[in-house]
Amino acid sequence: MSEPALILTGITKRLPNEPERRGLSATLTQLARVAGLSPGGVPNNGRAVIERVDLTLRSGEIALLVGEPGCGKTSLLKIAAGLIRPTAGVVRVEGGSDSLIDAKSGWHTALTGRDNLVLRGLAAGLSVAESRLRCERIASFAEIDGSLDRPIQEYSDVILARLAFGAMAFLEARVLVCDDVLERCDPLFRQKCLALIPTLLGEGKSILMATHDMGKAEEISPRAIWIDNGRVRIDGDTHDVIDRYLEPRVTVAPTDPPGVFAGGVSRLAGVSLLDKQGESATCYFPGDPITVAIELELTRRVELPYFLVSIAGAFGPIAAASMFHDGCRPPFIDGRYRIECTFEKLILAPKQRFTVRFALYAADGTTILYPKQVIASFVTGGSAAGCGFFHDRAEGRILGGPPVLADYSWRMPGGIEKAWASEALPSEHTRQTAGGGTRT
Amino acid sequence: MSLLTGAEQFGEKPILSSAFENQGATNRCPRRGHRMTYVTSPRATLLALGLLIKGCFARNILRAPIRAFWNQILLPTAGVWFVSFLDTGAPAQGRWPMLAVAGAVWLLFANSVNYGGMMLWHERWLLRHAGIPAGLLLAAAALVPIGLFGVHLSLIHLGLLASSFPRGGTPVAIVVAGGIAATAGLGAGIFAARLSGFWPNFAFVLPKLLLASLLLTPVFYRLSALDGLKEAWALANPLSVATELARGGISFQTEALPRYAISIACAWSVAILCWGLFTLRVPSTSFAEEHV
Repeated sequence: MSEPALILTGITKRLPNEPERRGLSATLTQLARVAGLSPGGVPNNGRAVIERVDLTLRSGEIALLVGEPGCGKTSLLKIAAGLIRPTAGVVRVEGGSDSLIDAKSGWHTALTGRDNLVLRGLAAGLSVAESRLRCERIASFAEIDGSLDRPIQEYSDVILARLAFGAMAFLEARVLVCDDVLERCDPLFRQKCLALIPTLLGEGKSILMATHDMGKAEEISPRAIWIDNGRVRIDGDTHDVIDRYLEPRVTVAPTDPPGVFAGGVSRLAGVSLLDKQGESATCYFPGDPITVAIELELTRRVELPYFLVSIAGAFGPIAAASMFHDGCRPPFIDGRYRIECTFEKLILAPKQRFTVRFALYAADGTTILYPKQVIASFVTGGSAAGCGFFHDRAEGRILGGPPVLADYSWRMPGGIEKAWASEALPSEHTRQTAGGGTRT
Repeated sequence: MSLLTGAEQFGEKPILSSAFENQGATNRCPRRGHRMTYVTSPRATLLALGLLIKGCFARNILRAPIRAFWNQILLPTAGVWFVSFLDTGAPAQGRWPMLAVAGAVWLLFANSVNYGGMMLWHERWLLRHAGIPAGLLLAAAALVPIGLFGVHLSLIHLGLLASSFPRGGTPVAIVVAGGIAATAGLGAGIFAARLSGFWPNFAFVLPKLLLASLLLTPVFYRLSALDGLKEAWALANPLSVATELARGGISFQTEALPRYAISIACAWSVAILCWGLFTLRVPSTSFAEEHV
């Protein structure tokens, strides 16, 4: 068995419980912290974003971090990359590490791309000649040969992300720590990066990577780690971890404390996702109506507001109910106000994670009374086979595909026309026997 | 476990390893839980330093050369000329060189804050990566104000060559004065960068604070003008000693400084620099900690 390259032992990261205070005493406390007169540590009762995480990564091994946004993946990656300190715990790295957590990090804005790459090569312990050699290789991989002699401040975030991945992959670091930067900003180039991973692993490099792309997860790595609320929930075979991670469930956001948004005009007092019978949903199957019930508490009367509810998949919004478009607005809202929005027939792909977002605007259409927030999330139930996809590869899941299923057909000399139609969705009886989800 | 980079494969000692080890207790919050280990080889460190110096000069001078020329040459020259013009006896008494050299020392202090320590704030994205240590960037940034000080002194000496000013003094005094201004400025700049990390608006307030420091430093007036406060001010403000020392570097018309004033000013400036470096180290090694 190969040597360990990255060992995280008992990693805990805590942040202060209370929101940032204002006032003279808070300012003086911060000033003392800046001046080095106060340690500025977080007390043990602080909110834990990472809680006693143990993780070992061996040379030539890759592990994927999966989990909902805000579960602590990026904080763990930053700790592994040495960018932030853990509150407690030990990080050990064999042979140097490099990271791609934020595309802008690690670049001197006044130097050219070429100078920056040489600088990073020198920082990684390479000779000048070797740094220059690899600089060409990185530029060629990142497809930016033409603009390598321009100052880095002129580069877009996408180009910086490409360059950062190239620098991480082709310089001397043995442990690569990578967030889902390319997933977000350059999905096409990401395919090229993913294709490079087996080569990097063959060179004995170790990769710790976060992803939201469940479709590619099994192709990328045999090992996945599900981070849930800062803890390792499951660490094991990617197929099993994703199966557990994508178990049907419905999660609603906690209600807001008073006075958080828009000067305290509105507060989210309750959210629930309802099923066809008007009861709290535990699971949604493809084609099920989705009802979002929102309870607001308003401190003043608001005339003719605009409500906005949208449903988003991993790569952005897919459906929205917007009073800006339909013009269906309540004459006024006041006090405790409840509104329900139902998406009658949205055929969402099975085993995918979706979020529900909500926003509230005043009558002028621009004043924000409640900024757009994720108020709930759910993972759809069912399976590809259960939805009428019969090919072997679709037996288990439709991962990485589009989040919405739409009727489509093929026309070919063989004569087959219809390929998938929503009539293939399972009947009510089949859904009920398929098993329910969980509600948290 | 070995903490060396793979650079050894290339027959060269590694320079800046990103290998590190975090030590922290499992049941309490450690004061220092993070320690970065940088393994350096002199040649590669010098090359990295050279690139960083190039970057700092490009950022501060080459990116906007006309603005730099205005800020560093034209405006100070116009200031010296205008103040000398107001004081009708100045040319006859040879006061402009005294004003110019004191102004150059203050400008070294201001540049050390702006282009030196504050570089940690301006290039904070560079530091949000484990590769480049803040110390190396700081060393590179410190050379910009020192280079500009050299230009200022050269211009003053060119002016002296063309004038009938009775030259004297010891050049070592100017070096000491420059050292005091640069170290104090770097320390204050680091502190300003740390403050900007917490309150980004501080970066906009800084020029006004620097202007206030110009009034508190005996550039447009002599230390003797403070009468009873002279001794106390000389001990409290190292820049006042630095300006008088610089005047003594080009002329015999020096003012007697209080006993041990130079030693105390040197100690002050070194203490400010050490404090700045200390503040840089304790709460956060990089500028990433505030942005969890």
